[in-house]
Amino acid sequence: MKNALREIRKHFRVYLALVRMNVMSQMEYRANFVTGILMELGYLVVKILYVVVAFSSGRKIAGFSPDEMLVFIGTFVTATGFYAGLYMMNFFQLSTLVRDGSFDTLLTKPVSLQFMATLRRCDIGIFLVDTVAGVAMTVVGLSRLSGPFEAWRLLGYVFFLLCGSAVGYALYLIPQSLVFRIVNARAIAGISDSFWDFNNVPMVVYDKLGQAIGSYVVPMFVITSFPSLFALGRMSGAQVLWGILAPVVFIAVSRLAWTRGLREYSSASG
Amino acid sequence: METIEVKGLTRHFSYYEKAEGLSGSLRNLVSRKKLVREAVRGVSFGVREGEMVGFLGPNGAGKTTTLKMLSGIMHPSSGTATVLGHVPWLRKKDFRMRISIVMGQRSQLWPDLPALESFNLNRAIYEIDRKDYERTLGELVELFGVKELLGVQVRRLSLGERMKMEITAALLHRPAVLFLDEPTIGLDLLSQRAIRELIRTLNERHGTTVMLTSHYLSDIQELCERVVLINSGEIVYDGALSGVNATLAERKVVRLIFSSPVAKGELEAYAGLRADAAALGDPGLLEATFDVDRSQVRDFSRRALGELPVADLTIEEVPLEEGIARLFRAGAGHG
Amino acid sequence: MAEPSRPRVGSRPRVGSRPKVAAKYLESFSLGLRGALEYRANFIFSLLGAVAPVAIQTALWSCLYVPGSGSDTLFGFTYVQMLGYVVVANIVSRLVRTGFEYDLNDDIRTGGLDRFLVKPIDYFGLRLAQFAGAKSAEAAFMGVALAAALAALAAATGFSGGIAAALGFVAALVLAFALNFLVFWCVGLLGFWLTEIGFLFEAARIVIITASGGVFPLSVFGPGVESALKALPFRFTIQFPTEVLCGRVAGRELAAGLALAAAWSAALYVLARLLWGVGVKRFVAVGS
Repeated sequence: MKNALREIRKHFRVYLALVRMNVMSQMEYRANFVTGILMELGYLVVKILYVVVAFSSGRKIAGFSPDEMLVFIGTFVTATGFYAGLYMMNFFQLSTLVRDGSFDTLLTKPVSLQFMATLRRCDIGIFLVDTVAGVAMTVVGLSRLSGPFEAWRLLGYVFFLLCGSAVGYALYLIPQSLVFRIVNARAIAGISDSFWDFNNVPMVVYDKLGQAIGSYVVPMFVITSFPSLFALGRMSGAQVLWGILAPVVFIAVSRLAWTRGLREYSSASG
Repeated sequence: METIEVKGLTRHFSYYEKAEGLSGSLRNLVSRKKLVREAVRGVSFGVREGEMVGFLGPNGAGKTTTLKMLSGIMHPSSGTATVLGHVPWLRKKDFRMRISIVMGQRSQLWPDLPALESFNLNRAIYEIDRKDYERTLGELVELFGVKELLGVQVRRLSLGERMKMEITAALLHRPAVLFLDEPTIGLDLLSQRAIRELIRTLNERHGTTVMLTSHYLSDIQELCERVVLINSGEIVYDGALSGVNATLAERKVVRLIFSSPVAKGELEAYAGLRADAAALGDPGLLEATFDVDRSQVRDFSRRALGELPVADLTIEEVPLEEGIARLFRAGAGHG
Repeated sequence: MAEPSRPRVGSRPRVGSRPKVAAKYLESFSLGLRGALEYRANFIFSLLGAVAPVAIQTALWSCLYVPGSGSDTLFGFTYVQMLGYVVVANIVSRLVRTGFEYDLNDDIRTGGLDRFLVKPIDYFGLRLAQFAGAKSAEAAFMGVALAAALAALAAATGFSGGIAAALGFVAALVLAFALNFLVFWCVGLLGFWLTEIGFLFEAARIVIITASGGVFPLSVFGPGVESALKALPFRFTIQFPTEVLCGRVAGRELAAGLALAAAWSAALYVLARLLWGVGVKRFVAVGS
């Protein structure tokens, strides 16, 4: 236990050092940094368009008001900050890392390999753009809804948001574990990336089958719809349970996929 | 117990034969012919604490593969090995805390940042106490003479400077075993010498066990008393460097480039004219190479420069592949 | 396919000899065509990428419209029209997509432009011919995909297009290609002034697609923003051809739209020439 805590503290310290290095590297390429933020703002506008549609139609969507839609989409934008700012780049770079041999060097370091390979890179610009905009949208949406917003609800929301972020990490890592077998993992990353946008509308918009698949099979709705449902007080008991279980299950599955892939790597690769 | 113990270490790579063209690709879908390449075949040796061993062999001989297995990057197909009492490929944390590997063609430093930032990351990764870190870093920086370079982005450093930084990064946690894979590859002669001196100082001062691979004979000549020669995945010689030195290093290749063709007969007056050169061109040669004893190089060059229309003269090492082949012929392989 | 004749190295082109010059453009066209055929997997992937947004938006609109009511309208669209819009706009936006701006920028940065500046050949013309070649191959693929998607839609919702709409669509699409080429040509020319472009092209692309009606029809922005966006040329690259194919724009309106799109193309061509002239002068002066 004591050891585990020490390891967690150490990895936290390593992560801080990495964030610092990422920010400094990005400052070296200011054009990339600035235009990267511009691009993320562009994507943000597209996401916000869905809110615009909800408000200017003035209609309820599957029983959810435009303000509630704002909470959903705000949460989606926040989660995108985690995904695009903290994870995605690493997944896209994984195959390069393996091919150019940097992965070999990481293997010899006394630090979690999965941690280093999947969280090494981050883009704080994108992370901030999305989380700030997302939180602002969520707060505006919630404050326009009637009734006080209690502290426990906020805690629960943050809890499910973090659970969702963990599920997102696992869900997008699993296909990437194929990187050790297939050379072109970039295409996989590209395809799984396009699925992310299914969260642009709340899960309630999809039919029963779609909701079931998106909750339990490819649990992308756990990432953004669950926390919103909780904040709006519309999460079912089963969803609460699954919202807590899913991160455990999927982190475990991703860990398994990762170690399997890795075993194959160190016993098969040249 | 020895620091490194290796018994019968073997590593195969399997790959698939790819027939040519589209029909070949289609045929591969149905049945693929599996081929096996043996990169390392039953290698055994031991390294004492504080020893510096040179792993010498031509490209593709199996040096890097062996090093990858000993540093835990790769599983062997069969055989055993222990490093500091650990089986490397189990990659126990304690093992990883006490070793380091530097690969000449790969960088662990972030190119866009000063090396100091990457050092700082290693401090967190290896859980180095701040005081120890500062002391070790200060010592290494002084030793390497790189104080002013600490704040320079790695991508702006020369290859030699970068390698110094790579080695510094690898030593911050004072590893007990250091693996160096081709640390001088691509460096100019001056940088090569500087790196060698550093490695020697390091080994002498801290008693670090060093395993070094190279395909430059001079690396090993200047650093290691003991050499392990590897060829086609097998150890062909393991022992004192002096045992092979005579055969490998006592000859040089002198290449002459002429400003006007020189008749073959004229060149044959010099001993050691290489067959490959002699077989070329009939009326006269514009280029010729000679095998010359090291002690004779000076005299040979002087004579050639005086008698022949030499436009350019270079002195090179005997290519390692050739040296090893000659070693076999001489019956020196008793490893 | 016949192997196009490659210009022999060292053979000097005769200045002003018409057939030779035409052959160069033809070769660029065929280069683009062959590239598109070779990388058709990429284009098919990008079409598959359209599946997600179509599914998402279809689900959203199905929730927003009053179920079963054929006359219910939102943002000026009936339910069936909106679904038609979603399918067609998503495919068209992928079809008109450019990529040459990166090559253009490369040529400016690495000085590869030099080669072209000394030849009696128009760089703009070469790139346009290459773009046209690539797009004619992709359009063939897309024609099939679009026909299948519309047939499925017709079976599911009673959506109908018609021959006249299809012909109008082809005309509108040709203009959309031209306009989008010109728009991104102008964006690409920014390379003359910026040392690093980073993700600028991607940022510009996402904004331009949005302003073209590639995400939602422009009417969702509300009347004020809509009329402002309608005053810009972008809608002719996605929204206009889409609405033509969906039968929402026909007859006199179609003719007027085509004329306006053509006028915009002409205006952008003038702008492109101006930017090019200033940029090349700078390029030569800097001597990069």
